[in-house]
Amino acid sequence: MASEYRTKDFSQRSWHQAITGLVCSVLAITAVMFATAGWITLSGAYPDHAREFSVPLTGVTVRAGTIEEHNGSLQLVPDRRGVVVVLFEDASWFLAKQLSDVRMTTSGGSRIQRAEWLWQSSSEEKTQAEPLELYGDTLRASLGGYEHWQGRINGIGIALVSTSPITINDISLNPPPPSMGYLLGRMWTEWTFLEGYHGYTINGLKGAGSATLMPMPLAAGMALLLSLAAIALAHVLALPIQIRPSGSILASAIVIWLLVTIPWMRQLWTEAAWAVEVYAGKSEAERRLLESDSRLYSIASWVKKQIPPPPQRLFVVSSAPDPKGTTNFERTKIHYYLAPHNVLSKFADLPSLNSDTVRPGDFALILDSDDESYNATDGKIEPGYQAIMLGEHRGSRLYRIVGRIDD
Amino acid sequence: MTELIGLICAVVVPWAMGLALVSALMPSNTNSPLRWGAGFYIGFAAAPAMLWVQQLFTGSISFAQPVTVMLAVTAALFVYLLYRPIQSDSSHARFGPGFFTLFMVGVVLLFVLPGIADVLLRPLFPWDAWYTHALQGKIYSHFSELVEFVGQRKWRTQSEPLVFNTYTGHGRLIPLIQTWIALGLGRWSETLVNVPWPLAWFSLGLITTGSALQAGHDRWTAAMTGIAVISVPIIGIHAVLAGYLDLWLAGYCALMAISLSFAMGGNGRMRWFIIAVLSAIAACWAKKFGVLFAVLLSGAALASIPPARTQRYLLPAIGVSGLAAISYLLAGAPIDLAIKIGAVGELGISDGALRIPGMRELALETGSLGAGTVATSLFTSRSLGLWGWICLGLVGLAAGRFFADKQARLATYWAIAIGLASWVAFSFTQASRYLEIGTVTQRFLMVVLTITFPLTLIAILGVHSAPKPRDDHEPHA
Repeated sequence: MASEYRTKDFSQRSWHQAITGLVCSVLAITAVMFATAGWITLSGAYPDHAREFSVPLTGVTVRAGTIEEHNGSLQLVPDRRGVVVVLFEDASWFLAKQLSDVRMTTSGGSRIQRAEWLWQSSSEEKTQAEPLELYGDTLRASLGGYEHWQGRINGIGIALVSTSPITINDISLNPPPPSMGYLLGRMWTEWTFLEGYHGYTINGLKGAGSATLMPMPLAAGMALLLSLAAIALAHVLALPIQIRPSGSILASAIVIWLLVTIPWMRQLWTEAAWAVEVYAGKSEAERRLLESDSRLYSIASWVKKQIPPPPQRLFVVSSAPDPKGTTNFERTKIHYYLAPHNVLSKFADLPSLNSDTVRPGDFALILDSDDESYNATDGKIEPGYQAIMLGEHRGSRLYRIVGRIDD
Repeated sequence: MTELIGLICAVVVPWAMGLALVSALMPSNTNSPLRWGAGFYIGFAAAPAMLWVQQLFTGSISFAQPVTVMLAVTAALFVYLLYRPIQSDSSHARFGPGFFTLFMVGVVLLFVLPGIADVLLRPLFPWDAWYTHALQGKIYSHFSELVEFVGQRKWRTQSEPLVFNTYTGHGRLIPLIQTWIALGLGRWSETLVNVPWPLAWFSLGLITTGSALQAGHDRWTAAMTGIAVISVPIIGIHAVLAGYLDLWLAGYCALMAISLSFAMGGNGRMRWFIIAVLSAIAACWAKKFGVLFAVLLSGAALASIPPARTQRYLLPAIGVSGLAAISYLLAGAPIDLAIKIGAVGELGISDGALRIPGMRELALETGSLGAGTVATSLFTSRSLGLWGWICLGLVGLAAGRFFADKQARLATYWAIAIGLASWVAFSFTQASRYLEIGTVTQRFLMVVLTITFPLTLIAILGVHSAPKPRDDHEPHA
C-alpha cells in the first residue's frame, strides 16, 4: 500500500499533506485552549497574574468633594450636597471580559446612601455607571451581564452619596468564577483584541494587558510543538498518509502562523483605514491641529511669527508636573514644533542668575497658564531677569530678556 | 511635481547606487533579491555618508552635488558590470515573472501597503523620532548644514551662534537619511522624510529571502522566510510608526551577519567580507548598540574558523569560561578582565563596569530583574509572534551541524554569545533598569532575531550547496 501511495502523482500527495497539517494544527490549538480552560476550571483558581486586579489608590482625580490619603487608604469627604466623585488615574486599562466583579472594602460604609461604579470604555463615548450594593462595609457589583461593560476599560472611578466621610481601604476587580465557556470565550477575545497604536507601541505590543490568561504566541508555540509531535508520531507509525511528513509540517506551521499573524494584519489595515479617514486630504499643519497636543503646535506656530529666526535662543520652561525629572512631554514636544529655532527645553524654570546663562536678546516661553513668575509692574521675571512680555497665546506667555534686574 | 521628482530621485538614486555597488562587490552568482535588498541598505548609508563628506569639504550640504556624484558612480559601476560576466540566478530558485512571484509579492503587499498609507498620512508619532532624530533632520535640512548639537550644559555657555541642543547619544545615520529626503523634496515634511522606512521593511524581507536562496534553499522556502520576517509585528511597527533607528540597525546587522556567514565559505569570501565591514560601519553609525552586535558576531566568526577537530576542545573551553565568568558575577566577586584597544576604548569588565568601545559603560549591579524577562518574551511576546519559537528551533538544527562547516559553527557561537551577553547585561548591570521600564526588551530581541534567523537558515544547508558560477574567477572555499 505504501508503494502504491508513492506512485500517486505529486499534487495528490501534497493535498494529503496539507490537509493533515491543517487538521493537526487545528486540533492542536483547540487542545491547548481546552487544556488551559480545563485546568483552570478544575482547579477553580486563576493564575496569579489573572486572579485579581488591585486598583491603586493613588493618582486620584477628584470631580466632587475632597480626598485625604491615610496610610494607603483613601478618605473621601463629600461636598455640601453629600456627593464625592473620584477617578483612579493610576489604574491601567484592562478588557471588560477579563475582570467583572468589583469589590470595595471601606470603613464607615454603612453611612453610604448610594454608590455607583463609574467607567469609560472604548466601545462607549459617555462615562457609564452602575450601582454598587452594600454588604456591611463592603461594596460589590457583578458587571459581567451589563450591556455597557464591553471592550477595553480605559478609566474607572466611583461616585458616592454620603453624609459623612468614608474611607476606602482597597478596591479590587476580579474575574468571574471560572467555567469552560467563559474561559474559552475570554481567550478568544484576548487573542483577537485590536490594540491600536499608542505611545508605548513602538516598544512592543501589549496585547490584552497583564491579565491575559494565555499569551497567544505561547499557545501557538505549544500548538506547533503538539502538531509536530502528532505528525512525527504518524510518520513513526508509518501511517499511509505520512510517507513524507515535510508537507504536513509546513502546512501546520503555516496555519499556526496565520492564527498569530491575522490579528496583526487586521490591526495594520484598521489603523491605515483610520489614518485615511482622519488625515487624508489635509495639509501637515491641519493634521497636527487634530492631535491631542494641538495646543502646543498652535503655540509654536504663533511663537515663530513673534521672534526672529535662529540663532536667537529660546528657553522653553514649564512648571507643570514633571515626574520623570528633566524630561517633560510639553516642553520636549514643543521643542520639536519650534525647530529650526534654537531651543533649550530641559528645565522647569529659567536658569538661576548664578549660572550666567541667560543673555540679553534671549527669549523665554512659559507654557503654564498659571504662571506667576512675571511682574508686569517692574518688568521682572523670576529668578531676576528684566523682560518684556511680547504676548500671550493659548495659556502661554512669550518674553524677551532685556537684562538682569541687578545690572 | 518638482517635489515628487525630488522625492523619487532621493529614493531611487541611492538605491540604484547601492544596487550597483553590491552587485560589483558580491560574487557574480548572487541572486536578485539579496542584491536589491542589500543595495537599498548600502545605498541609504552611502547617501548620508556623502552629505557628511560634503559638509567636511564645503562646510554645507545640498542635494544636487551628492546626487550627481551618485549618478556618476552608478553609471561607472554599471559599465563595469556590463563587462563583467553576470551569472543568472540559480536555475532551481528563480523569481521570474509568473504566478508564484505575483502571489508572493501580493502577500508582501498585504503587510506593506497599509504601512505605507500610515507613514504618508499619520503625523510623526513615536517619542525618540521627534525628540531627537527628526529634530536633527529638520534643523540640518533647514540650514543646509550639519550644525553642531550639544548637551544642555555646553548649549547654555556656548558662544558659537549655530549650536543646538538635543539628546546626541545615538548615531547620526537616521537624522541624515531624513535630511537627505528633505533636501530632495526641497522642504521638510515630517511624513515624506519617513518614506524610506517601509522600503527598509520590504528590503529586510528581500535580504532574508535572498540569503536563503543563496544558501541553496528552494524558492518556496526562501519566499516564506522573507514573508515570515515581514510579518513579525515588532518589525512592522517600526516601519509603520516610522522615525526610530531600530529597523535600520536590524537591517544592517542582518546584512553584516549574512555577509560574514558567506565570507566563511563558498565563493567570493573577500567580497562578502567587504560587505560585512560596510554593514558593520553602517550599523554602528545608526546606533551605538551596533558595536555590541559587531563585536559579538566578529567573536563568533573567529571562534568558528578552527577546524572541527579543534572545536572539540574550543567549544567546551568557551563554555566553561563563560560559565566561570557568570559564576564570578553571581558570587559578586570583583572581575577585572578587559582588553585595551588603543584609543578606541576597552572591551570587557573593569572598574565595576561592562565596557564596549563606542558604547556607554554599564555599571555592574546585582539583584537585577534578570535575563529571565528577556527569555520569557521570546515565547510569549505578541510583538514577536512565533518568531522566537522558530528561531530557537532553527538554532537547534544549526547546532546539530556544528562540526560540519563554519556557517553552522558561526550560528551556534552567535547564539551562545548573544545568550551570554544578554544574561550578563540584563542580570548584572544597570541595563536591567531598561527591562523594568519595558522600553528595551522587544526592540533588542527584534535585532537579535533578525540576525539569528538568516544565520541559522544558511547554517542548516551550509554554503557548499549554494549555486556555483559558470566562470567565476574567485578561488573556491
